[in-house]
Amino acid sequence: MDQISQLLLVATVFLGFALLGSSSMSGCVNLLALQGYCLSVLPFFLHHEEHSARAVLLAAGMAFLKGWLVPRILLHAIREVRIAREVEPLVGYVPSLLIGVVIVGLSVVLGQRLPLPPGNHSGLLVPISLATMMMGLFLTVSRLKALTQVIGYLVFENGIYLFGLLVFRETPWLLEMGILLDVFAAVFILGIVIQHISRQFDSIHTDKLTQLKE
Amino acid sequence: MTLLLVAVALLAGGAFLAPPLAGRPRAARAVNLACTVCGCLAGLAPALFVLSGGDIPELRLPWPVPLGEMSLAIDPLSAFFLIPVFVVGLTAGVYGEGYLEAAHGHLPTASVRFFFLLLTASMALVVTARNAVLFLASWEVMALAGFFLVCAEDGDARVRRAGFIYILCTHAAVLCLFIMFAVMGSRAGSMDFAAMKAAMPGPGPSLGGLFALALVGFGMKAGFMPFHFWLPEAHPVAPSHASAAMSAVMLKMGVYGLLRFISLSPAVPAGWGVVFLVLGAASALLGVLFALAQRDLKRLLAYSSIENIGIIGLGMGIGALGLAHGNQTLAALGFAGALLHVLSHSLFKSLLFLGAGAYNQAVGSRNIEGAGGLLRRMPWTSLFAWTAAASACGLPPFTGFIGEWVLFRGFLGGGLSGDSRSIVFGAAVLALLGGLAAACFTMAYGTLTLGEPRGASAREAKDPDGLMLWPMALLATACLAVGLFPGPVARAAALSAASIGGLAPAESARALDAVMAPLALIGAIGAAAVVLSWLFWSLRQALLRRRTVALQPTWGCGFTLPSPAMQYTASSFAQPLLLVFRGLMPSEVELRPPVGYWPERAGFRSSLPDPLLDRCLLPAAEVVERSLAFLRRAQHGHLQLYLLHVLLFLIVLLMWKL
Repeated sequence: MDQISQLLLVATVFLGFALLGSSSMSGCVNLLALQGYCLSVLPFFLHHEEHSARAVLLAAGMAFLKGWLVPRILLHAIREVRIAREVEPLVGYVPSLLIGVVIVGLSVVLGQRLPLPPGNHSGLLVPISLATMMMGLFLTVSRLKALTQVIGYLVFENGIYLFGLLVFRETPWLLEMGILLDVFAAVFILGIVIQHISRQFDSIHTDKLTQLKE
Repeated sequence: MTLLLVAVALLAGGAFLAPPLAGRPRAARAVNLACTVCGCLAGLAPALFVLSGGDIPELRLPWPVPLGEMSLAIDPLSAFFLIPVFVVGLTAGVYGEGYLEAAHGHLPTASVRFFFLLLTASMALVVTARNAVLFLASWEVMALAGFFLVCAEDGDARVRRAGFIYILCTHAAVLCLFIMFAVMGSRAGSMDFAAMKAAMPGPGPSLGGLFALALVGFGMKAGFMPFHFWLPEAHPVAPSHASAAMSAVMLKMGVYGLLRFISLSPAVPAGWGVVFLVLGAASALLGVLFALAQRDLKRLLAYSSIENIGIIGLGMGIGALGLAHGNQTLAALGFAGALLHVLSHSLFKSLLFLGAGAYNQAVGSRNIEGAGGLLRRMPWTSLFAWTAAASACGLPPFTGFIGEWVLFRGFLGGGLSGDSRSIVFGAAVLALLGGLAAACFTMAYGTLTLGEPRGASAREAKDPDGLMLWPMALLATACLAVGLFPGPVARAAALSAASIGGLAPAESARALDAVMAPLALIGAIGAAAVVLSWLFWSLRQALLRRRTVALQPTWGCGFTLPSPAMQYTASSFAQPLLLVFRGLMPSEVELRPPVGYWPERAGFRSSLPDPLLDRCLLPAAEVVERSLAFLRRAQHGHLQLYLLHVLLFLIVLLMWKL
């Protein structure tokens, strides 16, 4: 069991790297969906004795939202708004990957120094959750389009979800609230922001938002 | 207590119903009126019950906010402040409906309704909260509701400027209160007022520091003189019923806070009393002098509010001196005088603002020199406004007289019992104030209502409809009733004053009864005067019934072709007084004197900028803004870079703390 959870965690990081290096929009969305599926099954293997209804529901909800619904909406948006297939990074793919390596190293260092509640959790969980969060933030920083920023935000969310797994049993409703945030992101960001930006500026480049400055 | 909760729930419920009902004006209006009237009446009941000697147990409900607890109680002090909250909430709320209708969509109706009800509900919570977190939360709701009311007409740049100044000041004040309650709470280990009281520091620098924080925090809200500058900016631009609620009640929340602070502190050093006396005297004198120099009616009323807050401050000064010297009679008189004036001011100032709103809507401008002759065109409004103006001057038999009477007696008592400096100082200030206030209101009222109209809009002015007139009538009746029958109000004030300083209620009541004894006679004389003037009026009517009466323009003076421009103006009325005090108030004069035997044009314009705001604070703010201009570059507008800042900051924070 432990080995499977380790495997899933490592897969999460590798998917993060793939996101950093991927140049096609729809490829990014697919990678995100895959990461969502990985995370949705993780609770079963992380907490050995946990097969409660809550865990099952949580996993089903995660798989549905992160693996299926949100990627579907994103792909739909790519088609509808006719976004070019290219990601248009501000930081090139190779430097991005190198920064990803630095991020993972940093998170391992930070993860060891972070005081944690006692419990039998995998040693990889905290560093990987930190790494996923930072990768998500880095994606939002380094990519130009609004849609890639949404993807970055969702990756960041995944990191928070991983962190939440640490205290899954101790804190009720924490993870559920996190998943609700995803719904919020899906509905709000896509429905309003992208449409709005593309209508106002004939483009979904966040660069154009500079015109709003005072 | 249940009734109070019902009241707050009704008001808040009415507030939250206003936006969804905005599409259906009739339903929105009915709901708003029902919630205002029922809520305020329900809230008045427990307050009156407590003031008549009843006792209501404290209410404690759990509240998930950290350190917070829904802890509400109505002691006599809270009950006394609940009365203006609900009376003004009721009258100004009902008036507001008429006002909004008469504004013909110039005002954002739904949001004004929403924030007005929210303001009333939050003020009721402010005075009953017994937990600092609950207190601060309600305080903040009150401040923000006030802000949105000030900014109701945000299309105007001056309104936005006023809103900006208001929100800066109110948040500076809240900051002080946060620090004060945090210090008190950390000493007590709980945010409960009772626990705080037990853990207050003894006399010394730390108590003095807390007092300074309270003075700035609450004093800023109350509008004591160095912190007054937001008030003449913010109050004139709000819708009139909101100005009424803010000026008549919201300022009093600052007074309530200071009184509550005194009731929490274990000892009252004599220095506090002196501070209150000096601040009160400064606010009162300068407030009324600046009011004299104003031509904008609502701005004038705002300065007059500063004056009245100053009078309340004088009362608090006597009370604090009484507590410091252990003189119970003096303490009771001082605090009771302050409380009575709180009530009086809330009654007449709200009435004045409501009247100003009616004039304003009829004439279309707030400048009093554009009006004139409104007494004949708006008889009812003018009658009610006259009652309020007479109260504001402290004339018997109206309500303003009662508080000032008790204060005068307090000053005399203080002088007789040894603290002789306070008597000379306070009594002189109060006497001077009475005269100046009379001059100020004579000027404003005379210019508005007497003589001939100075503009076309004033010529066609008419009384507003019933929804605006009835609340004014109610307030005017209250002004007269309190002045004629001050007994119950004085007893309530004595009870509340006793609860501030921990005095024996019987002692306090006895002190006040001794002072109030001549008031029955004064009230009787006043009533006689009212009856007599009515008799004379009826006699005149009776005598003139059979005769033809020729109407001549006022100020005819034998001119063959008089014009309205020949009338006495407010400026000319106030000029001699302002000349005397010009050392205190350097006004800016723009003069073009007539030249030659047949002068073609001549002009005179004077304005009085607020010395603190316009001469010190705004230039200082400009200097700061210019010196910080380089930081503007950080406001570049690149979303990615903003996010990068966040990312780097988070990483640095993690590295630093781990």
